[in-house]
Amino acid sequence: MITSIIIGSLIIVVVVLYNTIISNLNRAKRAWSDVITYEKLKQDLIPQLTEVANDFKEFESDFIEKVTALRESISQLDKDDIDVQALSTVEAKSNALFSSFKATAENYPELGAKELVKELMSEISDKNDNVAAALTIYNRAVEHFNNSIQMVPYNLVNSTFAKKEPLENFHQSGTVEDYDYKPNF
Amino acid sequence: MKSRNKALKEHLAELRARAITAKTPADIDKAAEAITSFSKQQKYQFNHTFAIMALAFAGLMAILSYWSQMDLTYEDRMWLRVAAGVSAIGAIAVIWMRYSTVKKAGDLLYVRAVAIQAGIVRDYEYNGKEYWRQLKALFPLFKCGDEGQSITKRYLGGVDTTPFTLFEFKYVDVSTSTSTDSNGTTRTTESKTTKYKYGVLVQFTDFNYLSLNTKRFQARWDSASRAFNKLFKVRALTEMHAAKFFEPKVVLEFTDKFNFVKSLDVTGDSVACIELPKQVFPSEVRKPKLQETTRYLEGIDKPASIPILELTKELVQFINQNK
Repeated sequence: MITSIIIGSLIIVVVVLYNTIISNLNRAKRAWSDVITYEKLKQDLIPQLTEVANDFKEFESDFIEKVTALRESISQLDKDDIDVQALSTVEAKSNALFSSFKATAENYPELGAKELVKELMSEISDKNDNVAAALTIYNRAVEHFNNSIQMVPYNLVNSTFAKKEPLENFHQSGTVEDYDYKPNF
Repeated sequence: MKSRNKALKEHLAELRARAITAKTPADIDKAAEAITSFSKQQKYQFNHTFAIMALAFAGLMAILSYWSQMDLTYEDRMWLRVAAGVSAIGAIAVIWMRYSTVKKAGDLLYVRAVAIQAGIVRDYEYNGKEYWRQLKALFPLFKCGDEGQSITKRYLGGVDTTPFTLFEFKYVDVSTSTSTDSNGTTRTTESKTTKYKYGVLVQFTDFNYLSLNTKRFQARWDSASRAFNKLFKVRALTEMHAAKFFEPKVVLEFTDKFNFVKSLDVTGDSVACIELPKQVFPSEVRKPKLQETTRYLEGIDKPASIPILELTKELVQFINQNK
């Protein structure tokens, strides 16, 4: 009798832990999917950016090339495949393009005063804010999932049944490498 | 020549009147001038000579009642003890009430200074019971309590062009418990607990499709953020309404910055009721003592801010920008 109660309790505990791991993984996947959705929304800006670059000579000659490169890299992102490296590349290109756009608009006040440019600046800022927030939420979800497969007793259930690998956090290339200080953990 | 106590009583009454009618920083400055002028004449302390004498007399009576060499009967000794107890309690009560009068007048003025600095004005032009009935018809938040429900305090304010009302809602929960003793006698005891809820009522425009931690709408929605989902249960007119409003940056702001919000409910006319912790109320700030006049004057010159209220104003702006 006692043996069957212990075995039953053990099975329930394993099922609960297993389900927690899976639900944390699914939450991380959903957070990733949100990141990609908002990253892909940046594509909506590309026709306007191209139009502005064609209409005003102030933009550098390679601006259109940067726009095209960004469009191509965004189209390669996949909602179902968590590829932090690919996202990092897109973010780097996107930051380079938007920084160049912003710098040009600031260097030429007449250009910056145009309504279309102002609207674009505002939209770029809004989309960047959303991607940054989505990335923060993704990183928190990844941390929670990784904790749930590495901490005792979750790690026992994971290694025996779920067999999930830790997910990789997203960090913008260039942000960490620029610091001399490196944490010792 | 007025007695010290009479002068202080009159001055405190003047301070209370000034506190109630104050609407601008200039009104507070005038009250500060009155305090400065009064403090040059005397301290913010009552003369307790008679109370202290009564206390000493009570002590003496108590000692005599226990002194065995005194030729007193048992009844006399008991009467002496009772008289000593009554005198002591009376004297302490007088001292405490006088101290409390000074404290209350100082607190009232300071709280008013805090409210004026926060851009809110205390409103007395309403009937607390009637106002509660109106709000009860609009928001389920006001349906709690068994008796004594009333809006006990109300401040009016605004953020940009959006008006809001800060409220304190008081209600009493009545619970009854039945117990049976060894003789089989059943007793029913009734206990009453007074409770308070705090929040703001905000008149938005075109924001009538979403609620947090209340069940006004049918469609449920949750975000990818575990922390957000733990804090807020979102319901909306449709899932699409919620998904459009809760962009990642909005979810993150609610999780990290506006996590003090207990609930948010909206009517069809875009009137929102946001339940908040009690720290949103000006009366909850730490108040300097009027007895320490220099520090008190510094306090009303630069009153403390109310962080939760400032964040609530930011929340109203944030909702206006992202709705």
